[in-house]
Amino acid sequence: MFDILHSLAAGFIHVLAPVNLAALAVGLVVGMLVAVLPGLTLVMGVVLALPFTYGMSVTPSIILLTAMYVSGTYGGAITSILFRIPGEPMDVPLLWDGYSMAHVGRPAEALGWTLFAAVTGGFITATIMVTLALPFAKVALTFDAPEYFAIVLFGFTSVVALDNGSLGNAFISLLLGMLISAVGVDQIYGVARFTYGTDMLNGGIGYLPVMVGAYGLGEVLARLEQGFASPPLLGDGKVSTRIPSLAEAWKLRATFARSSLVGVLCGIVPGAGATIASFVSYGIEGQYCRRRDRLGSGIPEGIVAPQVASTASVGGHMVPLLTLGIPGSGATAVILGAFLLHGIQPGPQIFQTQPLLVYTIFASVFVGVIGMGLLGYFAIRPLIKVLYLPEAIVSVFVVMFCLIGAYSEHNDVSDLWMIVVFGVVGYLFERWRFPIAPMVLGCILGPVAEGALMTTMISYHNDWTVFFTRPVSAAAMALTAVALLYPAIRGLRRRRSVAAAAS
Amino acid sequence: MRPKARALLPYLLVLAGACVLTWNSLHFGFTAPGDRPGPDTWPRAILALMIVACLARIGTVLWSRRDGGARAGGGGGDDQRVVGEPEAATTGRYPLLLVAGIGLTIAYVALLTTLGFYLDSVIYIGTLIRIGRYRRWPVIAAVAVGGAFVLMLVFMKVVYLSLPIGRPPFSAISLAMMTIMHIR
Amino acid sequence: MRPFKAFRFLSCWYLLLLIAVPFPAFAQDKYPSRPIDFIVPWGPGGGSDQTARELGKLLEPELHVSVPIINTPGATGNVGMTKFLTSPADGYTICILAWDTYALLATNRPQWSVKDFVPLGIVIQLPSGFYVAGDRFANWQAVEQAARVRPLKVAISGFGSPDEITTNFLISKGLKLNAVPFAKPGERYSVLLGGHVDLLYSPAGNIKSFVDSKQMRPIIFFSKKRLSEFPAIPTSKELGYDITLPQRRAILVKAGTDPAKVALLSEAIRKAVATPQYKAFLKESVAVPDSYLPTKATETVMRSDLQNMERIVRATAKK
Repeated sequence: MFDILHSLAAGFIHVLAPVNLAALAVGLVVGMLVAVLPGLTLVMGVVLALPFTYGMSVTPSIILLTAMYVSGTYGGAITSILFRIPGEPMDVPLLWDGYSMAHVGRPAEALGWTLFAAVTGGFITATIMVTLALPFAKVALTFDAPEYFAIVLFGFTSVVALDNGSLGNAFISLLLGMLISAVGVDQIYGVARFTYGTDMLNGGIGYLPVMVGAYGLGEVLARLEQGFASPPLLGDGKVSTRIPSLAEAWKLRATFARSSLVGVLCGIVPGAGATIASFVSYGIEGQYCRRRDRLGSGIPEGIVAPQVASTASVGGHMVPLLTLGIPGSGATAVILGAFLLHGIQPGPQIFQTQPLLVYTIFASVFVGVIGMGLLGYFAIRPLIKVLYLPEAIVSVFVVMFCLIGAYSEHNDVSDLWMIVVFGVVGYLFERWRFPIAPMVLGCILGPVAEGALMTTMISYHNDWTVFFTRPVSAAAMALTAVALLYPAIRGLRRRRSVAAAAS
Repeated sequence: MRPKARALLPYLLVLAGACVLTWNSLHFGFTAPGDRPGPDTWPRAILALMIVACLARIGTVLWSRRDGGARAGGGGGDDQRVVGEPEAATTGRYPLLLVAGIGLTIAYVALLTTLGFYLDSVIYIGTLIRIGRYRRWPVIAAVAVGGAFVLMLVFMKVVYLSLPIGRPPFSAISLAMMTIMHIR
Repeated sequence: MRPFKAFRFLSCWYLLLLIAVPFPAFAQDKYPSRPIDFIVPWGPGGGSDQTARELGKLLEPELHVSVPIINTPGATGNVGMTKFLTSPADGYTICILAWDTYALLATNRPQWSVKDFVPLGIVIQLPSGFYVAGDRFANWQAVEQAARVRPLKVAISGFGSPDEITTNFLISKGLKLNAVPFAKPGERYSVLLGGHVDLLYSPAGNIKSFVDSKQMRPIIFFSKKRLSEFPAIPTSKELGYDITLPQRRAILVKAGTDPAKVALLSEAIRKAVATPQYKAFLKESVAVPDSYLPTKATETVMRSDLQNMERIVRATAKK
């Protein structure tokens, strides 16, 4: 323990070197910017930042990318709350309680809760990284394809199980999203599915055009139909961030604990770490939070849970990367690339060969979380100013960023066509009161689920009982069953009580 | 009867689509060797669930009393809580603006590879702001030209992205802009 | 009032165009005069991506333009190939072809063929092998013995790849193996370390850190000669298996590109791979030191590799 503290202190001193501090600051700002802008995702931001690290030495490059990663899990929350457009996939759950709270005239509170949650989640994850890195890495190794599938399946239920009135609609929307993600050349055999011989569909439909189209363009179209005269969100009130008091936060301690655990654990699931963490922890609040009946109406629990989990998932990704050399997400794959480009191979030996580097990275996460908090607190002011610009101009640039962001992922115009298509689809969903979130979730997690299911079936010779005989996947399956049955039971009980009242 | 028919419409649409895709999924022209699940397993499972879900919803709408039918159609969702009030009632509706906005965006995407990013974006930004009922010409022109310039500068010069430069003769404009920005 | 407004609207655009057009149409005789897109049909951080980024970095001073990397992962490289082959043949788009993708010609019959591109050279060659976790299986004989009793799981990158061709070849020789695809490298490595699969098929360089830290160990290399880095590890040739499918990566430009541009690009690549930085990169990746092959030699190797893979696929399909 003393060893760790000693190394960490050396790391802190190292982080405060001007070069590293500059890299940290740049990373935090750029990460936040990328997350705030709709269309530009965090992963893409990290990819685009990679060439800039070619010329740097290894420590500042890794600090830069890690800082982007940390602050990128927070920035998108601001746009979710203020503009109702999620900056990142992981910010979709913040549309419910976050936007609802802002919508009833309490945006400062909503922003304060996310900021508090992000900083808390960041500290928890950094502490876990430092103290439990090696045992935690062992957990990552116990996961096989059945566990991935079971956890993703539970991630799906988080959306479906929330609103009992629209269970059917949410389910259909989710399936639509999964079907959309199945278009294109399949990942296992390379067989074209539902492409009708077109190049445009051959590459598949990514979640980014769907999310950006349905939320970004769809929202702008809906406002355009009202002549860009939407009632001001803030009234005339001045918005700043109102950080919750410690007493208020202490009341939510169970939510913080649950969500950070979920965040760190879900970080291990490859493919969709922060997103799945955010949805799963929201779903868990839907079942275990004391005020679950009011979830979605703008209560802090619904803001804190997804935000804590998103930021806490950073540790879930970084630990296997540093201790085992295994990247679990798009962003960590790029960070691994940066390590390798500098001729350093992460893995268990890195703690012996490059202890200063490792502990400098750990320390940079601590410093980065503080920096993120300050940056978030001050960045909100200029962002609020945007709300006072003419709506037409703001909306046009929202659309431009959506389009450029989606284009930059593959440099492909067909992604732009998808945005237009899903912009219209998103608008129609809104008009018909069909939930959009399940579709977006289905698009993101559909391929992860399919890959895990197919791999399991091939690996275990079509023996589906493995999902129930392996402890972790059995636990996730049980949670899924509870999540699905709970609304049904609740509905039944309600009906019975109504019948009792009638007689 | 009419609200019921309207409530059924989305489900019938999805149901029809699912049936067509199921038919397609029988013709991927690839069978997995041995007893492995093939590329059609996953989409077919989803489609089956989708058909069941649609039939269930249709059943609910048909069998429910009239008021129930209307509720099922506008069943709402997670987003319903969020949307709610301001729609339609307080502000006017401009369906023409909506159509113009969609049309303009389609035109933007269609012309992007011909006109190049800069020219196409200048036109799109300017026109969309105008469609959005903002009328100060100097501001519109400045925002359109300046906005496209800054976007191009940031994405091509700073983040190394290659945006479409268009075909001749329009590509000359993009190339000229690139020379001004020293993009090499 | 209305027509006047429409007139003003139009005249405004006209003015804008006037501002923009007077720039002379810049002479395009010099090649390259703008950035050259480098398509990588794999995700960032992987082997192809690292090779392309290293090479792109070294190509920039040779070509005097930037060479931005474009990652287009999906379908064993098919998505990226489609994108590459639908771009114009003007020499402003190049692509890295990994042999995982190239093998699809022997197994999956993709929508493209060798005629669609011109190789500018092979830039890296890596011998592949089977790896085991920690101290499992003393040697290859132990693997063979185990594989005659119960099926061993092999983590591969995907079906239709050299990984699967090699595994199928061994199955046809009487070993019980079950090839399990894990598209993401990270998953592939963690399932081996976690003991969920028995063997991992991989090029040597990608998992150097695991080997250095003794978490993984090569057990056989599918090559003709023993590797200088691993003199104790037997090769498939010594063990009597006639299969050597190394991982190679070539740089492509679209067929129909002006030969002068092709020559210029090939020359730039030849210079880039001769730099000490690139040599160091090859060493770090446990690649063959003289990996580079120019266009002509690359074409010969590609032809013989394809015939070789087709032969093996046919032979294993019969059984």
